[in-house]
Amino acid sequence: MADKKVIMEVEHLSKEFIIKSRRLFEKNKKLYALSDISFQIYEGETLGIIGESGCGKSTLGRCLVRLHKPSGGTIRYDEQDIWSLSDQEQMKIRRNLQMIFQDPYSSLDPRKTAAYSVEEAMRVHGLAKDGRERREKALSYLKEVGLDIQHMERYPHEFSGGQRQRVNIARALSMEPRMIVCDEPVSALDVSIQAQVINLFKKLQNQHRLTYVFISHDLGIIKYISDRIIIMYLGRIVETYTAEGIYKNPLHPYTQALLSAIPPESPFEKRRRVPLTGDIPSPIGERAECALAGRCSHCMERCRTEIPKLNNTGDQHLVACFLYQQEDYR
Amino acid sequence: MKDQDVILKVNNLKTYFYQASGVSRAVDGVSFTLKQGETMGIVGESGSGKSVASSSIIRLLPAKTGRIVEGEILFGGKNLMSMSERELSRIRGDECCMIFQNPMTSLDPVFKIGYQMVEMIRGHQKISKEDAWKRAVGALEQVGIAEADKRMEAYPHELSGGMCQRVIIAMAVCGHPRLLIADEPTTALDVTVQAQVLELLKEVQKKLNTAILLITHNMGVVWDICDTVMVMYAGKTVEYAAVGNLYEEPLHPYTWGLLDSMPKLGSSSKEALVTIPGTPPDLRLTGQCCNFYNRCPYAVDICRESVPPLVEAAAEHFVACHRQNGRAVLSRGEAGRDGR
Amino acid sequence: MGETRQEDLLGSEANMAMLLKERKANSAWNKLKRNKTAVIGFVIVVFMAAAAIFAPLLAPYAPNAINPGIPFKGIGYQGHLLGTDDLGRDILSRMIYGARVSLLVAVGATLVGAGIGVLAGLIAGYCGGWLDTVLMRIMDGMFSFPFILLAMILITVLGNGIVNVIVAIGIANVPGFARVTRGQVIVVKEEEYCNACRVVGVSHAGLLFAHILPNCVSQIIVYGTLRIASAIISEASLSFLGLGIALPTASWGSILRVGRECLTTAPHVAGVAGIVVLVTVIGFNLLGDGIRDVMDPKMKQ
Repeated sequence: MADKKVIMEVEHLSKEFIIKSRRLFEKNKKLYALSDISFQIYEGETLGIIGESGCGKSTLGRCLVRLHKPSGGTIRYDEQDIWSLSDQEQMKIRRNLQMIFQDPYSSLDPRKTAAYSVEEAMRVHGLAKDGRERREKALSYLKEVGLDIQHMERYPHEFSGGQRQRVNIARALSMEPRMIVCDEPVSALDVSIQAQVINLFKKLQNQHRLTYVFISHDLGIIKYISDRIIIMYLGRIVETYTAEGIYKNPLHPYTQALLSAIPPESPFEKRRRVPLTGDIPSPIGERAECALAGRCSHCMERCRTEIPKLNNTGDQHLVACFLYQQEDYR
Repeated sequence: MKDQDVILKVNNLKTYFYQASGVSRAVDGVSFTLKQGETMGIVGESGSGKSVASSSIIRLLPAKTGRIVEGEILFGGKNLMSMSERELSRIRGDECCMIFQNPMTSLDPVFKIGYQMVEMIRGHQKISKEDAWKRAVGALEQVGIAEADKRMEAYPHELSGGMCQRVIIAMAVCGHPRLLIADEPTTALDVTVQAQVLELLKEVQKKLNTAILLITHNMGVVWDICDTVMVMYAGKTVEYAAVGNLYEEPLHPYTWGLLDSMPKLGSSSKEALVTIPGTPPDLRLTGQCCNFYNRCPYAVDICRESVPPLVEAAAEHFVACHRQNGRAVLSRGEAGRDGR
Repeated sequence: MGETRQEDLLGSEANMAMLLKERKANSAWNKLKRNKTAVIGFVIVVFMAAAAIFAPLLAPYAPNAINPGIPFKGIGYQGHLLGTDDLGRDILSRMIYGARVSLLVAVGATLVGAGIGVLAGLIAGYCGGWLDTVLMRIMDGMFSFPFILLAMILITVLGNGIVNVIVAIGIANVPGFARVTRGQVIVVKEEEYCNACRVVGVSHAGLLFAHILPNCVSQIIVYGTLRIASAIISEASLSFLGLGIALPTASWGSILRVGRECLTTAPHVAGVAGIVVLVTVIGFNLLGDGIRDVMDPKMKQ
């Protein structure tokens, strides 16, 4: 992995949202969606990001495609800071960084046909000589995702969920991107359709040499499709490693709890639950302790006063937990 | 099967929706029995009719367009189809409770939790406000909510999704629930919270000997807490068996497709996932033949001519397939990947 | 061959057929037909519009033809179906020609109001910030100004006449359209497909006019239909006060004005005009409600 090209680099990314106070004389509160996020994305890989609600994975995905402006830190694409670009360079980057959203219905304009949505993308970037070529190209992309000519003039509400998602994918493909951020792209689909769409993602990745950032809450899907996985909790990265590695040897207590909470794959399986007491704490307000403090059964004194940083425990298996930062570990 | 054990018996339930463009056969002949203390899972994808079936059982359908056209629903021996709305409302919330998918929207956002619980309890039992309050606090403690009396003063939006679902289960527990219908109770919740809520349901069942009808699209949840499972497709039951039997020897081609298309955590294979080609049929076109024939790799002529009946193929293992036809003729995996 | 071609009941042809059937059943026309009150409203509106358009063919007499010998004659008198007014003019003919004026003014004023108001609402809603605040405070100011006073000032400055009345009522309509549009824009611009367009790289103008505006249009049309109804009343009020269409031009408002003066002696003048205005306004209101139901894409029957 060391000789693979780095396509995107995220350094100390943070994102806060201001929650306007409803009461008089009360200061506005800050919601810390992302704190101190740093990682790299290698060309051609699929990076999986998994976490539960409030972990910030969606916000992270949107920061990567320039939908949210970060409050701190930098995001570099091909070694260029994506927020300090001229207008022309911005458009070029937009072509290369695309996104597939979670809800296939609301991500298409209900008043535009499938063909329009795909052609618009090409029109914006000047990717076809004239209307006729645009139309032909749109048809070819729709066919590539498994639709056909009779789907071109249909409106979103006339498609099934899986078909709508295919239209979204065709639209993203039509710009010939290098990286696609997929924000829970199959969560809203039926199980048997999920498999179809995931197969499509893989096929397209091979054919077009795409890099994926795949966000999901479903570990089965993430493990299947990803090369490496990042586990997030309350706006921070808690663990990152290869997909196989995380499953076989989860180190962070949160990862262990997450894996043990997954419903069994057969009625005869007896899974040992690693319990996490209580609920996910609120992301509002600053905290100077480990995000899992109070819920974790290994909680120590140090966990309540310091925030653990990501630490390499060997072979690029990074964990942010004081359990693995003691001098006598390893 | 001792008859006094059976709490719910559904016979040939059919619920249709009448639209301008045609009749949508959302539920087209569903039959099953549920015993006291048992958990049955109803599995299906969107359009399978599982949610409509559960709403039909307690007669909660959109009045204008949805109608139960046929079928018998026997709850503890009483026929729910012939009951008046008044009698039904006495049963709902007391003996038969329903838990919906989105816990945040199941509670009234403008009233405190305590108020809603007390109102519910007093709606079914003649007790004073103080006694109802105490019962409610007790129920909240039963479902594992800490500082229950403080929580009674909270509004629904102040609680997390998992908490809300616990509150709803607590409300169900306040009555004398003999049947709990849970329609995708954990789909909107995080995985760790889901595990907690499912465990809670199991506890409640053990303590009160309640029967649970669990509707879900997640097979993992079925393996976790269900005893029997019914697979639905396009409004019909396609397979019905004990959970262990369904896992080891599923008989219907749709069940095979469903089970095979889920990525397995244990396997490291990166081969393409097995899929069922095509999409579920439009419910206005179904009802004349096997609804699965256009996606089934084993389909033959008879499949597109007549509706396959639900037949007992093995001990307490029912399947609706012309080719399986009670004799488990086909073997799984015969058709290979991608149904070809 | 000997092969019996069996019907592919669930195949793609059947699906296509069902799609076309659904499209037809849910077309705007069919949806409207199913709503009884909307049909009533539609009929009323069409009736009034037809009267206005075909006035020369329908009116039995010239609207301004004075007949001083038969003033204030009652309903059904000698071929005057609805009687005559103070100068012996046939009320039926004046009502029919009056429909022309009143509807022209009402529709014209609504279009003027919509043209300016929608643009202002689009900009305010999309841009937000100080531009939004400034525009909306201007609109608030216009709202709080009493309409009649506003119209009086404008008519005094511009003078009587159809065009000026249209402008006066139109300007009074601007803040309403601005508010409705702005409210819709604020909701629509946060929809996921707008985010998708931003990621694709669609420009601000492209997003606003190609995506946001079409998705707000249905609300604007509904609002517009209701504003036409109220514009009819506005015109009638203005003409009634002498600020609108001047006599002898026939408009429903000017007829009402005459009718008021002879209310005790010849009540049919005011009565007829009043009822016609009432019925037309109800018609537009019912139609507007019906259009709202039709335009809601989630309401499939």
